Amino acid sequence: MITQDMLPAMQGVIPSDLATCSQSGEPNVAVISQAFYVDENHVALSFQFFNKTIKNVRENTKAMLQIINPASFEMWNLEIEYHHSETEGPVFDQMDMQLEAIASMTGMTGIFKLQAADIYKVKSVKKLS
Amino acid sequence: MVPKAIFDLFNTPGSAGIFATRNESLQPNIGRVWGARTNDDGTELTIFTPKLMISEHFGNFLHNGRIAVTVGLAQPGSHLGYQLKGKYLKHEDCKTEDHSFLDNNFNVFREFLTGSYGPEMARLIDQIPYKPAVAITLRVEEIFDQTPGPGAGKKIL
Repeated sequence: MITQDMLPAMQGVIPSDLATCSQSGEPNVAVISQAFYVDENHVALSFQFFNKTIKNVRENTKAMLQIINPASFEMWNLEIEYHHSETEGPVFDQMDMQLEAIASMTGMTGIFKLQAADIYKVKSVKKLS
Repeated sequence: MVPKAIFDLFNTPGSAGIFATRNESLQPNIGRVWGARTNDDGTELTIFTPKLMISEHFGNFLHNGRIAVTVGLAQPGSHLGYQLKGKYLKHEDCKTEDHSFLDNNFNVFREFLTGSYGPEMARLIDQIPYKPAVAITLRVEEIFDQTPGPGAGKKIL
Protein backbone atom coordinates (compact mmCIF):
# COMPACT_ATOMS: atom_id res chain seq x y z
CA MET A 1 0.00 0.00 0.00
CA ILE A 2 2.55 2.61 1.11
CA THR A 3 5.35 2.77 -1.44
CA GLN A 4 8.88 4.18 -1.20
CA ASP A 5 8.03 7.33 -3.17
CA MET A 6 5.50 8.26 -0.50
CA LEU A 7 7.94 8.16 2.41
CA PRO A 8 9.28 11.75 2.05
CA ALA A 9 5.68 12.88 2.52
CA MET A 10 5.70 11.34 5.99
CA GLN A 11 8.68 13.18 7.45
CA GLY A 12 6.68 16.07 8.89
CA VAL A 13 8.16 18.65 6.49
CA ILE A 14 4.72 19.57 5.13
CA PRO A 15 1.89 18.91 7.61
CA SER A 16 -0.56 16.25 6.58
CA ASP A 17 -4.32 16.67 6.61
CA LEU A 18 -6.90 14.38 8.14
CA ALA A 19 -10.64 14.14 7.54
CA THR A 20 -12.79 12.29 10.05
CA CYS A 21 -16.51 11.96 10.65
CA SER A 22 -18.60 11.66 13.78
CA GLN A 23 -21.04 8.81 14.28
CA SER A 24 -23.82 11.34 13.68
CA GLY A 25 -22.42 12.16 10.23
CA GLU A 26 -20.61 15.46 10.77
CA PRO A 27 -17.27 15.66 8.92
CA ASN A 28 -14.23 17.27 10.52
CA VAL A 29 -10.90 18.28 9.08
CA ALA A 30 -7.58 18.90 10.83
CA VAL A 31 -3.94 19.54 10.07
CA ILE A 32 -1.78 16.79 11.50
CA SER A 33 1.75 17.41 12.74
CA GLN A 34 2.86 13.87 12.07
CA ALA A 35 1.83 11.10 9.70
CA PHE A 36 4.36 8.46 10.69
CA TYR A 37 5.25 5.43 8.58
CA VAL A 38 4.89 2.22 10.62
CA ASP A 39 4.96 -0.33 7.81
CA GLU A 40 3.54 -0.63 4.30
CA ASN A 41 0.04 -1.22 5.68
CA HIS A 42 -0.01 1.03 8.73
CA VAL A 43 0.53 4.67 9.65
CA ALA A 44 0.61 6.35 13.04
CA LEU A 45 -0.84 9.77 13.72
CA SER A 46 0.10 11.92 16.68
CA PHE A 47 -2.49 12.27 19.42
CA GLN A 48 -1.58 15.55 21.13
CA PHE A 49 -4.84 17.07 22.36
CA PHE A 50 -8.18 15.41 23.02
CA ASN A 51 -10.21 17.15 20.40
CA LYS A 52 -12.89 16.52 17.82
CA THR A 53 -10.59 14.44 15.61
CA ILE A 54 -9.78 12.02 18.40
CA LYS A 55 -13.41 11.81 19.50
CA ASN A 56 -14.51 11.08 15.93
CA VAL A 57 -12.11 8.21 15.26
CA ARG A 58 -12.91 6.62 18.60
CA GLU A 59 -16.61 6.43 17.61
CA ASN A 60 -16.22 6.07 13.80
CA THR A 61 -12.88 4.55 12.88
CA LYS A 62 -12.91 5.67 9.24
CA ALA A 63 -10.65 8.53 8.14
CA MET A 64 -8.92 9.98 5.09
CA LEU A 65 -5.34 11.18 5.28
CA GLN A 66 -3.72 13.43 2.68
CA ILE A 67 0.06 13.61 2.49
CA ILE A 68 2.34 15.78 0.34
CA ASN A 69 5.87 15.09 -0.85
CA PRO A 70 7.85 18.28 -0.03
CA ALA A 71 10.29 17.69 -2.89
CA SER A 72 7.72 17.33 -5.65
CA PHE A 73 4.33 18.37 -4.18
CA GLU A 74 2.88 15.05 -5.25
CA MET A 75 -0.18 14.22 -3.13
CA TRP A 76 -1.80 11.02 -2.00
CA ASN A 77 -5.08 10.26 -0.27
CA LEU A 78 -4.89 7.32 2.12
CA GLU A 79 -8.14 5.75 3.25
CA ILE A 80 -7.32 4.64 6.78
CA GLU A 81 -9.05 3.04 9.74
CA TYR A 82 -8.18 3.62 13.40
CA HIS A 83 -6.88 0.44 15.02
CA HIS A 84 -5.33 1.15 18.44
CA SER A 85 -3.20 3.60 20.43
CA GLU A 86 0.29 3.18 21.87
CA THR A 87 1.74 5.22 24.73
CA GLU A 88 5.11 3.49 24.78
CA GLY A 89 7.34 1.46 22.52
CA PRO A 90 9.48 2.17 19.47
CA VAL A 91 6.79 3.88 17.39
CA PHE A 92 5.80 6.17 20.25
CA ASP A 93 9.43 6.98 21.05
CA GLN A 94 10.34 7.83 17.46
CA MET A 95 7.24 9.95 16.99
CA ASP A 96 7.96 11.76 20.24
CA MET A 97 11.43 12.72 19.03
CA GLN A 98 10.17 13.72 15.60
CA LEU A 99 7.38 15.81 17.10
CA GLU A 100 9.85 17.71 19.24
CA ALA A 101 11.86 18.51 16.13
CA ILE A 102 8.74 19.67 14.28
CA ALA A 103 7.69 21.80 17.24
CA SER A 104 11.11 23.39 17.40
CA MET A 105 11.06 24.28 13.69
CA THR A 106 7.54 25.71 13.79
CA GLY A 107 7.67 27.65 17.03
CA MET A 108 5.43 25.18 18.83
CA THR A 109 7.86 24.04 21.53
CA GLY A 110 5.94 23.45 24.74
CA ILE A 111 2.63 23.28 22.86
CA PHE A 112 3.13 20.03 20.98
CA LYS A 113 3.31 17.07 23.34
CA LEU A 114 2.68 13.50 22.24
CA GLN A 115 0.04 11.78 24.33
CA ALA A 116 -0.22 8.66 22.19
CA ALA A 117 0.61 7.24 18.80
CA ASP A 118 -2.68 6.34 17.12
CA ILE A 119 -2.15 3.38 14.80
CA TYR A 120 -4.25 3.18 11.64
CA LYS A 121 -4.56 0.44 9.05
CA VAL A 122 -4.25 1.65 5.46
CA LYS A 123 -7.18 0.40 3.38
CA SER A 124 -6.38 2.10 0.07
CA VAL A 125 -4.04 4.66 -1.48
CA LYS A 126 -4.85 7.03 -4.30
CA LYS A 127 -2.30 9.26 -5.94
CA LEU A 128 -3.79 12.63 -6.88
CA SER A 129 -2.79 13.83 -10.32
CA MET B 1 -22.71 36.23 11.32
CA VAL B 2 -18.98 35.54 11.02
CA PRO B 3 -16.89 37.62 13.51
CA LYS B 4 -15.00 40.40 11.75
CA ALA B 5 -11.51 39.03 12.52
CA ILE B 6 -12.42 35.74 10.93
CA PHE B 7 -14.28 37.47 8.10
CA ASP B 8 -11.13 39.48 7.36
CA LEU B 9 -8.89 36.40 7.42
CA PHE B 10 -11.07 34.57 4.96
CA ASN B 11 -11.06 37.56 2.62
CA THR B 12 -7.32 38.23 2.74
CA PRO B 13 -5.22 37.01 -0.21
CA GLY B 14 -2.89 34.13 0.61
CA SER B 15 -5.39 31.81 2.21
CA ALA B 16 -5.22 28.05 1.72
CA GLY B 17 -6.76 25.10 3.44
CA ILE B 18 -8.62 21.86 3.25
CA PHE B 19 -12.20 20.68 3.30
CA ALA B 20 -13.93 17.42 4.18
CA THR B 21 -17.13 15.69 3.17
CA ARG B 22 -18.44 12.21 3.89
CA ASN B 23 -20.45 9.53 2.12
CA GLU B 24 -23.40 7.38 3.17
CA SER B 25 -21.08 4.95 4.99
CA LEU B 26 -19.51 7.78 7.04
CA GLN B 27 -16.29 7.49 5.06
CA PRO B 28 -14.74 10.95 5.02
CA ASN B 29 -13.03 12.44 2.00
CA ILE B 30 -10.65 15.36 1.79
CA GLY B 31 -9.92 18.12 -0.69
CA ARG B 32 -7.73 21.19 -0.99
CA VAL B 33 -8.76 24.84 -0.83
CA TRP B 34 -6.70 27.34 -2.77
CA GLY B 35 -8.75 30.38 -1.99
CA ALA B 36 -11.83 31.34 -0.04
CA ARG B 37 -14.11 34.30 0.40
CA THR B 38 -17.30 35.10 2.21
CA ASN B 39 -20.42 36.86 1.03
CA ASP B 40 -21.07 40.39 2.27
CA ASP B 41 -22.59 39.42 5.62
CA GLY B 42 -20.40 36.37 6.27
CA THR B 43 -23.25 33.88 6.27
CA GLU B 44 -21.87 32.00 3.28
CA LEU B 45 -18.39 30.88 2.39
CA THR B 46 -17.17 30.07 -1.11
CA ILE B 47 -14.12 27.86 -1.42
CA PHE B 48 -12.15 27.15 -4.55
CA THR B 49 -10.81 23.69 -5.23
CA PRO B 50 -9.12 22.09 -8.27
CA LYS B 51 -11.64 20.65 -10.67
CA LEU B 52 -9.62 17.48 -11.27
CA MET B 53 -9.81 16.49 -7.61
CA ILE B 54 -13.49 17.20 -6.90
CA SER B 55 -15.46 14.35 -8.47
CA GLU B 56 -15.58 12.14 -5.37
CA HIS B 57 -17.17 14.92 -3.34
CA PHE B 58 -20.11 15.55 -5.66
CA GLY B 59 -21.94 12.45 -4.47
CA ASN B 60 -21.37 13.47 -0.86
CA PHE B 61 -22.76 16.96 -1.52
CA LEU B 62 -25.92 15.47 -2.96
CA HIS B 63 -26.29 12.75 -0.32
CA ASN B 64 -25.92 14.79 2.87
CA GLY B 65 -24.44 18.21 2.04
CA ARG B 66 -22.24 18.38 5.16
CA ILE B 67 -18.92 20.20 4.73
CA ALA B 68 -16.09 21.12 7.07
CA VAL B 69 -13.50 23.68 5.90
CA THR B 70 -10.34 24.82 7.58
CA VAL B 71 -8.39 27.81 6.29
CA GLY B 72 -5.20 29.47 7.39
CA LEU B 73 -3.36 32.49 6.12
CA ALA B 74 0.12 32.40 4.62
CA GLN B 75 1.76 34.96 6.89
CA PRO B 76 5.13 34.73 8.64
CA GLY B 77 4.78 33.57 12.23
CA SER B 78 1.03 33.13 11.96
CA HIS B 79 -0.55 29.86 13.01
CA LEU B 80 -4.07 31.28 13.02
CA GLY B 81 -6.65 28.92 11.63
CA TYR B 82 -10.38 28.40 11.79
CA GLN B 83 -12.71 25.57 10.93
CA LEU B 84 -16.12 26.30 9.50
CA LYS B 85 -18.87 23.73 9.28
CA GLY B 86 -22.01 24.01 7.28
CA LYS B 87 -24.33 22.97 4.56
CA TYR B 88 -23.49 22.71 0.88
CA LEU B 89 -25.54 25.16 -1.20
CA LYS B 90 -24.14 24.95 -4.71
CA HIS B 91 -21.08 24.51 -6.85
CA GLU B 92 -20.12 25.92 -10.24
CA ASP B 93 -17.18 26.15 -12.55
CA CYS B 94 -15.08 29.22 -11.89
CA LYS B 95 -15.62 32.23 -14.10
CA THR B 96 -12.85 34.45 -15.48
CA GLU B 97 -13.06 36.82 -12.50
CA ASP B 98 -12.84 33.85 -10.13
CA HIS B 99 -9.64 32.71 -11.79
CA SER B 100 -8.20 36.22 -11.44
CA PHE B 101 -9.04 36.06 -7.73
CA LEU B 102 -7.39 32.66 -7.51
CA ASP B 103 -4.28 33.83 -9.35
CA ASN B 104 -3.87 36.72 -6.91
CA ASN B 105 -4.46 34.50 -3.89
CA PHE B 106 -2.05 31.87 -5.11
CA ASN B 107 0.63 34.45 -5.89
CA VAL B 108 0.55 35.70 -2.30
CA PHE B 109 0.78 32.11 -1.07
CA ARG B 110 3.64 31.46 -3.47
CA GLU B 111 5.54 34.57 -2.37
CA PHE B 112 5.18 33.58 1.27
CA LEU B 113 6.57 30.09 0.69
CA THR B 114 9.36 31.31 -1.58
CA GLY B 115 10.33 33.96 0.97
CA SER B 116 10.35 31.38 3.74
CA TYR B 117 11.98 28.46 1.96
CA GLY B 118 13.90 29.90 -0.99
CA PRO B 119 13.47 30.30 -4.77
CA GLU B 120 13.41 26.53 -5.42
CA MET B 121 10.00 26.55 -3.75
CA ALA B 122 8.62 28.59 -6.66
CA ARG B 123 9.36 25.76 -9.09
CA LEU B 124 7.51 23.30 -6.89
CA ILE B 125 4.59 25.60 -6.16
CA ASP B 126 4.08 26.23 -9.87
CA GLN B 127 3.33 22.53 -10.32
CA ILE B 128 0.26 22.70 -8.11
CA PRO B 129 -2.84 22.41 -10.34
CA TYR B 130 -5.04 24.98 -8.63
CA LYS B 131 -6.83 25.81 -11.92
CA PRO B 132 -9.26 25.10 -13.49
CA ALA B 133 -11.21 25.28 -10.29
CA VAL B 134 -14.69 24.77 -8.96
CA ALA B 135 -16.34 27.22 -6.58
CA ILE B 136 -18.24 25.51 -3.77
CA THR B 137 -20.56 27.62 -1.63
CA LEU B 138 -21.73 26.60 1.81
CA ARG B 139 -23.94 28.18 4.44
CA VAL B 140 -21.85 28.76 7.55
CA GLU B 141 -23.41 27.14 10.64
CA GLU B 142 -20.53 26.79 13.11
CA ILE B 143 -17.01 28.18 13.52
CA PHE B 144 -14.23 26.69 15.64
CA ASP B 145 -10.78 27.95 16.57
CA GLN B 146 -8.18 25.73 14.93
CA THR B 147 -5.04 27.58 15.94
CA PRO B 148 -2.62 24.87 17.22
CA GLY B 149 -2.68 24.48 20.97
CA PRO B 150 -4.89 23.23 23.78
CA GLY B 151 -7.57 25.75 22.81
CA ALA B 152 -7.98 24.26 19.37
CA GLY B 153 -11.53 23.13 18.81
CA LYS B 154 -13.14 25.86 20.91
CA LYS B 155 -16.44 26.91 19.40
CA ILE B 156 -16.59 30.56 18.36
CA LEU B 157 -19.96 30.65 16.63
